[in-house]
Amino acid sequence: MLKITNLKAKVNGKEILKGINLEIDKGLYFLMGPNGAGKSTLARALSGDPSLEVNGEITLDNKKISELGPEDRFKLGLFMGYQIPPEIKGVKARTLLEKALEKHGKRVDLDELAKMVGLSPGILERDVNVGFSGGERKKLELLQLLAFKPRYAILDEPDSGVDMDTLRKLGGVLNSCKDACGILVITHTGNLLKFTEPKKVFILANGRIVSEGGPELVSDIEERGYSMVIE
Amino acid sequence: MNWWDEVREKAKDWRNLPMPEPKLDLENMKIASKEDIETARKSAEEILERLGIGDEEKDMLLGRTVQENNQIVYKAMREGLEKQGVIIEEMNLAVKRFPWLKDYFFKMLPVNENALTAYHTKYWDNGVFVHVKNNVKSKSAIHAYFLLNESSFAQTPHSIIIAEENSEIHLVEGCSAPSIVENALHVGGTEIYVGKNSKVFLTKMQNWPEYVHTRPLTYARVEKGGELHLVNIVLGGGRTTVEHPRIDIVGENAKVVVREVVLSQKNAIVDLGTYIHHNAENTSSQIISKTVATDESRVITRGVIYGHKRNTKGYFSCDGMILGDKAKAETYPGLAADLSDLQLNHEASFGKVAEKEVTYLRTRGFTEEEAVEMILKGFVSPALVDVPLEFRVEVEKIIELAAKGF
Ligand SMILES: Nc1ncnc2c1ncn2[C@@H]1O[C@H](COP(=O)(O)OP(=O)(O)OP(=O)(O)O)[C@@H](O)[C@H]1O
Ligand SMILES: [Mg+2]
Repeated sequence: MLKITNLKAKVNGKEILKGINLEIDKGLYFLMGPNGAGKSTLARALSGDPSLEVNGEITLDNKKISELGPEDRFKLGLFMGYQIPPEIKGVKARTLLEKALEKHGKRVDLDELAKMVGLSPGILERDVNVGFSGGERKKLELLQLLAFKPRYAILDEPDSGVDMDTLRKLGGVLNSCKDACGILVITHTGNLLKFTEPKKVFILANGRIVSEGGPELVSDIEERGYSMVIE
Repeated sequence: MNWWDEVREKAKDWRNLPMPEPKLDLENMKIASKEDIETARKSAEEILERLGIGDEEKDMLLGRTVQENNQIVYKAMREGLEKQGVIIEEMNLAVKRFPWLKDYFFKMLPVNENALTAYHTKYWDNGVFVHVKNNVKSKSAIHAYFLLNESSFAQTPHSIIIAEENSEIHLVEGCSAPSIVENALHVGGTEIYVGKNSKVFLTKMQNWPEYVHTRPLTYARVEKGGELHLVNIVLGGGRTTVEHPRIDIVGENAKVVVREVVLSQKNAIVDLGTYIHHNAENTSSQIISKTVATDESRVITRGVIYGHKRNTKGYFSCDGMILGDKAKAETYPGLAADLSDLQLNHEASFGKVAEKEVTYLRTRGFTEEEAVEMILKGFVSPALVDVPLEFRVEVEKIIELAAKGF
């Protein structure tokens, strides 16, 4: 279980997360909330981003990870797929992935995975995210979910700005992973519901989890917006 | 007096000429003796040891291959090259062997421009002479310095490269053997003549210990349809390194590509910049400069692409990364146009290693050190395409050291 207890986070001195409590088991979970609510900040706090000032406890299968650096959290099986992953000039995507996999003691066929997420094979020969389209960046993050096979994953808007075919593929990937992995998908829409179903949906607003429920919560919000859960 | 000694006379008043910054007290610079060289070689060996450089490369970088039995091999190699039409000769001998060299000798280097150019002219000693004959194309990299006996020890070497019409040569200059003593000075001069439709590739790596002041004086002339590819890698930066090559493009359709990599360390001061003059139509040039400043070093990268003629295409990119709080780096990429019918562009970016990128890599399991290393290697890589493997290895070792101190 990935357990978050009273997690607070400040960015540049401003408190963004004001005490988050959340538990995730194996399976698929959604995290929704208005723009600027703090969803990405929560993802970064979980991943161990050192630019945030974080308080509170995070445990991964009963092991406390809140004091660990990002690389150690990753080693213990936590993966974060970025909403907007950075460009790294001069570093080929393939080189990055191969090195990371080697360190991680895993071997996979990257070309096979590229095909699975709908990336053209040549793209791995390009610098990481440099000149990638929005959708291509999302796919490279998704490819890494498949490559690293984490125990828990936070995927920050993997469905934003991707085409219909990719959305379908994403649904398929989530379905194939969710038995072995606890996945928290940050999303703004119910588009994925056509292909997969979350166990639970959390709503984050103003730095707190203000509501949680089943998949029906997604359609409620799609219909009526966040006013129904935020007073 | 021989014509090559007469040249020295022109520079006899070197003491009265202005000394460019950072100033050097030339009178009190030491010139190394053979014993000094041995001592320095040992300390350089220690440096290379610390860097974890392999034995074979170490030998090469220390100029140790220049030993009795190798001399025979190298002599045979030089004879082989000479049969093909590539002459490689020590300058002290070349001036005697080729009287016509007079027309090229100190013809580009402006003898009395300043105290350094004049000092070099007055005291030039050995260097490498490379002559590629008409239509001769030599495509494999030649370590010219190591094919010669004495020139790697000289501290004021004067080198001349002449590529005749329609020829091609690839030269590699390792970090001239560290034949250097405390407070030592190295003022080498290089004159490069790129003939019609010929191609010259010169890759140079300098890795001086932290007590060396070096002032390479580099000049080149590129004729119609010619190409000059210069790669200059400065590792460490010695105590001070100042190099401002001047390249004149004099014929149409000629092309110049310059790539510079600076990885400065300790308290080095490095001032590097190429000045390219487009004196003919339809010519192009490109300067790509990558700086990584570490420790307390200070780096200035500069240079100007001058468009004097129609249809000049010039591109100047200058990027720098600064590690830690004590290093400093500045850049002044310059473009100057005498007319409007041309195209000159530049880009520059200087800053710290992006924290976002480091964090991203850490979330993929890399330590901070590994992340910085990967980012820095990626950063310099565009300037290292086609650079010989042994140089690349050394660049990477220095980056690994830099990342450790991050
Ligand atoms: N470096 C920063 N400096 C100042 N404010 C920041 C910084 N980073 C994030 N914030 C602020 O923190 C708040 C939460 O941002 P976050 O990215 O977590 O929102 P989000 O819920 O992911 O929004 P979205 O749905 O738009 O992706 C926002 O108001 C944002 O402007
Ligand atoms: Mg977000």
